[in-house]
Amino acid sequence: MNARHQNLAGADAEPSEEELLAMAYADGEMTPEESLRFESRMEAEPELVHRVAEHHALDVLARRIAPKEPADHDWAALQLDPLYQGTVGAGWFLLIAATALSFALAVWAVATNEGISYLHRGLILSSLLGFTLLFLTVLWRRIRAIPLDPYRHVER
Amino acid sequence: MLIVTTSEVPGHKITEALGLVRGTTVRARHLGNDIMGMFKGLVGGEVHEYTKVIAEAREEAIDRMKADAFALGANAILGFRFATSEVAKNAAEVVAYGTAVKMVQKGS
Repeated sequence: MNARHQNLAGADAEPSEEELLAMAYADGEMTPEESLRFESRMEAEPELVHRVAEHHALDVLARRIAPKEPADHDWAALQLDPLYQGTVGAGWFLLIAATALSFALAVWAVATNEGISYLHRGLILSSLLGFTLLFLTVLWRRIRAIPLDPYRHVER
Repeated sequence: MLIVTTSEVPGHKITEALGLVRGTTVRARHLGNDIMGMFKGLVGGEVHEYTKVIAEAREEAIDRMKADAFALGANAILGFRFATSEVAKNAAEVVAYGTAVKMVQKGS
């Protein structure tokens, strides 16, 4: 039986042992052996059947009043749509490629600009190189840390 | 370990209060998430990228708080709360805190 039930049921009055068992049975949280034992008790004690039916009714009511939300597999199906994947993939490719090319062109333009003194060119290129090194270092550390991060699978 | 928002647990008695326990984390979104989140912000609906980073931070903060409580020898945390704030534009800070206690079932 789950300790959660003891918390939820005990907000106003302490639930009886039968109530806790009925909740656990209705929520399918019993082991097969516990379920069998409880079912044999239900045959002899109609009150237990009534309690389980009450909890089933509460479950149905809770599902009716809960806001509708797509199930995880619906979200996954949307993500796997070929059109979605194709457009998102093409969008990222164009964005990353164009950004990298623009960065390279900017570096080239600064490096070959005769109108800027060697000192200034050196300073600008050093800044860009420092920025790139720092970014790559952080990116590399993140990539290495990803397998050690147990929370990246948390979705909601 | 039992974690509840209430200050007591029905059927149990507190034998020792061990003090405040907390877990803190700051997690950031990456630039890709921010870009997709910005577009989703234009069209409406849930911004899953942001939901995810908050959920990750919440779970990490809870685990750190539990580790804090384990270190004190607690078997429950009462009065559990979350607090959030923004320390950086693209990061989520979550603080989970509560009171670590030792408790036993009444009658035992």
